[in-house]
Amino acid sequence: MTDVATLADRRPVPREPHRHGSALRLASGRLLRLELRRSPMLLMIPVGVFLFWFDTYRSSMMLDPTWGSQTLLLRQGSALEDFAPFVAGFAAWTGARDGRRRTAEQIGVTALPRWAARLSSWAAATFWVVLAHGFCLAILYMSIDSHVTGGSAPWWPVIVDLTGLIAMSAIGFALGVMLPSRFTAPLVAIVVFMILTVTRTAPGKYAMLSPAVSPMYSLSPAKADAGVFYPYGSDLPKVQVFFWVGLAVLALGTLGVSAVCGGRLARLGAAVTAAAGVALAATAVGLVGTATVVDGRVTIAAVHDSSQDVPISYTPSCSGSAAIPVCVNPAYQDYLPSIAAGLAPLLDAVAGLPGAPVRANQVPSVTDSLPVVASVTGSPATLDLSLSVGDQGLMWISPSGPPSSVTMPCCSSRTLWSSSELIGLEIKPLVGVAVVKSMVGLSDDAQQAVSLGLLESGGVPASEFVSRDGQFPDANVQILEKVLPGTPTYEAAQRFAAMSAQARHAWLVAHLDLLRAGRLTLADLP
Amino acid sequence: MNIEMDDLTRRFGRTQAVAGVSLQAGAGVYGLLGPNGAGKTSLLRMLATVIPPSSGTLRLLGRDPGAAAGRREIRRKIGYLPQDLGYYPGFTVVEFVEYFALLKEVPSSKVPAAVAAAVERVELGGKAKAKLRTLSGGMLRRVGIAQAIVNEPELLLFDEPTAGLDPEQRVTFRALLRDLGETSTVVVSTHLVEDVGAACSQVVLMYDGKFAYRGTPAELAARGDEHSVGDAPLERGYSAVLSGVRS
Repeated sequence: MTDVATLADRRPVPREPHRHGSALRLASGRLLRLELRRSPMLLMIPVGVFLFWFDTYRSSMMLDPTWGSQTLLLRQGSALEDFAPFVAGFAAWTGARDGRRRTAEQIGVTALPRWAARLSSWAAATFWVVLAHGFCLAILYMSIDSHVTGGSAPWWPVIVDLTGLIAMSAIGFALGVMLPSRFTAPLVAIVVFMILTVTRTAPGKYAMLSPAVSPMYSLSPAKADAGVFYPYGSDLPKVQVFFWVGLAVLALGTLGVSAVCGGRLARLGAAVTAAAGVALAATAVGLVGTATVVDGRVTIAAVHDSSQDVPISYTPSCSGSAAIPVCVNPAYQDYLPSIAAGLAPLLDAVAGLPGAPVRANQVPSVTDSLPVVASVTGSPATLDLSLSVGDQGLMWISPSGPPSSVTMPCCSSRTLWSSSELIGLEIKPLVGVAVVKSMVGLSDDAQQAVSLGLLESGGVPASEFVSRDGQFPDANVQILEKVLPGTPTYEAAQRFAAMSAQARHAWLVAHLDLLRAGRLTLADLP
Repeated sequence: MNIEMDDLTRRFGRTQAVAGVSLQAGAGVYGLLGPNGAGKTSLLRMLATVIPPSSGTLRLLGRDPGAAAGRREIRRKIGYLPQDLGYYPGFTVVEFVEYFALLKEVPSSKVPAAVAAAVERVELGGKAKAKLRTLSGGMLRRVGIAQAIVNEPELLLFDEPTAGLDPEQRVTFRALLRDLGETSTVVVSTHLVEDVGAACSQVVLMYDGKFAYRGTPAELAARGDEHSVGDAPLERGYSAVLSGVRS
């Protein structure tokens, strides 16, 4: 049945036509301001700022006062982890708003393309994220800048952090729009937290795309003295930015693809945007697949800047308080007096002996589980000291004490290198073993006895090694730990240490070659 | 004509919600009556451009809602209050109405005045700064009406607009409907025949997806003179038409 009803056609009063251009831009600004006022993301800010202060800021301030050290946690993604789960969760909550509040139908029949309205809502939420996180990073950087002794500020981690958060916000928002349930937000937050936690320790190149793990690899070396000896690397941060911008563009493009978001042209534009996001992210995945990782330094040939391979030139700061000059990078000159004083008894004891180092130099840190890696190289011999600064794995940075995985109880990196007493206790044995191994050797009983005697004369008693009993994961130390009191080797070492410095010097000058060649026994020792 | 439809149908799977209806309507208040499942809400949603018709011709405000450009132009001049009003509890009355004004692309410079006028017309001026979560059901319904009229629409579609309003508010709302109908086409879907009698110049009664009756409320009331079901003349007319169709 077809019925026709006709009402009297009273013409509507003509209305002023809608203006486009500037008026629309003003309306968009007004819409953004309204969304800014009512964004649920505002609730996230106090939580994020508190976590940042509690987790990242406090711990960073306990590290060595260099840019490399005090941004170490930031570069490992700690600040991002403080914010990201909440950002993604609140973004999902915002995105799910129309579905949760059943406003989709009312809004669906308004003139403004749904994509534009959604982008406005997302932009407001993300504005607060960027503002809050940027504020926290600004406070951290200003605080570091006020007391830093060396290095330069790394900016790539800031860019990676903010890009990562913007992408998390976009992904969370898109998921909220697509799955408008009250459970979406907490689920998204939990999943983001788990992904960041897993990728932080996950092996493999592709895990390096996570902003919560990769910055530490992108800097050279992968230690806290990045920016002191070598420039910060930018290969991986560039690729990370590609990846996260790609994901953000994909998420935002997806918002416009659904049929309720406008005409065919608008949907086509959204689809092209989403495809561009996929292409960008895929490019990043391809690039990271070509990465080479050597000593924690990531090189991606397609985006590599070779100027970052050149070491930073510097004039060492040296101390003359020991028998030989002890020199460090000027970034660590605050530690120089304690390092020189802590090592002085050892260096004084061996100074002038055949094969003894004539100078001690700080070299870039290496990936190792020891607080110091010492080696004697060259002729005349030089003692190279690679100081571990700010390494979480060894020098805990939490005020609550060391994690259970740390076997060597000591202190924070900053406390250690500022104290000649602690250096004498914790560092001198390691340095001493490297020196005596280079001078004498540790291969046979005679060499071990003389080495232990020399160390004892330098203030490292043989009982020190026995008492440590496997605490140092250093093969040379472990040799000496097996020389137990009462054994002939131990007794010979005690006798050698008891000699006068002149007598030891004279005996070594006469017998060092034979001793190093392994042609002396304990019976040949004084 | 603000509404022109010819042989309009809408299917949901095997169910035909609207089965070939035709209508031409200019300014005025148009009452849409019918039992549950008659197809009123489906028709209203097609007129609101929420859903497209399955077949037939539909032109709104002289434009084709099937084309993106036409649809956007229509939506600038449309006001829609769905049966199930959604709202953001954290927004104030003014913010919520302003939000819809912006989504309807009311020129930015006119937004504050348009919002204030809409809020005043539904007599919520005293609650303008109140959060929506603090309002009663009736007040929320008025907020919904305010968002529907904030863009001074040429086509207004109300689905059960007086549900939750107290008698005094309903009287005020009927006056508002008559006022709006002076310049716009207002379609009111309702079960309350007294609203139709008081506010509508024309009435359409739907049954089983079709128009079972169209005419003035007085004519509908006259149909019920010989029928005993119903307390008021319009109710008796309504019952009489439905009985006729069913038989």
